[in-house]
Amino acid sequence: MDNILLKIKSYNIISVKTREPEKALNLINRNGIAIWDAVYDGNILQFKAVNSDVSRLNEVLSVFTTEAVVEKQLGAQRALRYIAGRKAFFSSLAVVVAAILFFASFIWKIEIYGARDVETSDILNALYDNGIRQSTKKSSIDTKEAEIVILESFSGIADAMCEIKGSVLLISIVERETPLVQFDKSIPVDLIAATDATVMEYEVYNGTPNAHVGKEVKEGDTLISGLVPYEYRNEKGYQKVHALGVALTYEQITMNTSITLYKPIVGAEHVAQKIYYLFSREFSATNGQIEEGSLFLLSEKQNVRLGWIELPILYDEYKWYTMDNCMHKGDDEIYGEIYNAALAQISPKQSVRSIAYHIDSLEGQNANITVLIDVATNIAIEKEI
Amino acid sequence: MGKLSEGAKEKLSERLSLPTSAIIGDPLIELTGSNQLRIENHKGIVKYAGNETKVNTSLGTLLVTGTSLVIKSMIPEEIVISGTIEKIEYLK
Repeated sequence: MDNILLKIKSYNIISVKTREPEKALNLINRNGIAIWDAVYDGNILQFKAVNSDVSRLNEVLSVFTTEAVVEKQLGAQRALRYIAGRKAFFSSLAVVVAAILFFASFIWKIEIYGARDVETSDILNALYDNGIRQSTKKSSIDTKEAEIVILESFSGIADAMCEIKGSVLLISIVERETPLVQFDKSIPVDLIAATDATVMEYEVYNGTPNAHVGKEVKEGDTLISGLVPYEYRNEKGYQKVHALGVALTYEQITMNTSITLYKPIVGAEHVAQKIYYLFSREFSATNGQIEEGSLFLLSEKQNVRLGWIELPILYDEYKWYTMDNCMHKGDDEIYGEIYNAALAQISPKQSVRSIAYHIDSLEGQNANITVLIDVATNIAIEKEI
Repeated sequence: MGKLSEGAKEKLSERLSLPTSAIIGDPLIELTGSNQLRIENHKGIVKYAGNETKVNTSLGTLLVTGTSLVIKSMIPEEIVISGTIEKIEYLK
């Protein structure tokens, strides 16, 4: 007997009340009906037979006063009937399974590992701009392309590896070693010039001065030496120290930026527009008519919340204000925005000395501005002695 | 097969190098340990009880005694009896 086949075909446990089990068994056997697990307790013969043989069994056993009684039905058919009797439950289950399978085909989380100096939010922004965000269909994400996006967008990243695991996009990045090596303070070093420059500010905290304000230095020239001469009981020599100090040069950077000259009045009425990013598509919803020439404030990449649960669905929110509901920004406010834009342009080795700007043109509420940034750049880098 | 005499059947089985039982309808009895007995070419059940089962064969009635005897399966060609089988003997 093939148990699996029987379970698929479905079988019954049948009881026959008889004093002649042998006769019953032989009759069944002569009629070519297969049975199994036959047990006789002195009064009732119980056995198993496939579903399709039940009617024939009744015919065969009609010689006895009692007919075959189906005690229990087992196997796939019974299971199907069981399922049919619980339609609501199994339908819900099927819907849940289908939903899980459907949602499993999307990316719901992006995890970034290995970021040191590069901000993970910047990497996410670069990916978003290239259409890779939460709720993007997995099949539409080319991990190789994502790696290229990251490598091309960030000069400080030497390598990037993207991998999709389940519903998570794992990004592992390797940042380039900083070219300005920082040695431990116990290691003797010279401070040398990182580039050709004119020294405009110069201060020595430790070591021997080797430059001065106004001196033009070439790349690799020693600015502050880590060798400090000493004389002790007519004996002359040099003590090696970790040189410390500042050597700055001045330079000017020009940049262009655009800022809005107006801002909404606090508490002013506005039209809210939300753009949801779901399943690789964008869905927009507004609660009113957006008038031409309106000013907007944008809150990017917010997560949809369901009560206190943060869902992995992103949206951008625009708040549109008519010009009647806006006021001109103050000079300090405009300067502050330009200053922040300037800070984003310079490197960590630079500091802003002063900023000058002029408005080139006006486009609606926006002003195109040219900014002249005076920066001081530290040109000293450490070199082990 | 029914039209051939017993002698002819034996000769045929010799010529075809087939087991004689397969040709002439002798019962083929296979005992696995002491828990399962398989009887091919049976001719029906004569008695069925938990401690004693008699199976009709072409060589006579086969008496199977033991405890908790169950007909594990029964099809026209074979019967499988399971339980604790203590003795098998032909009643002639």
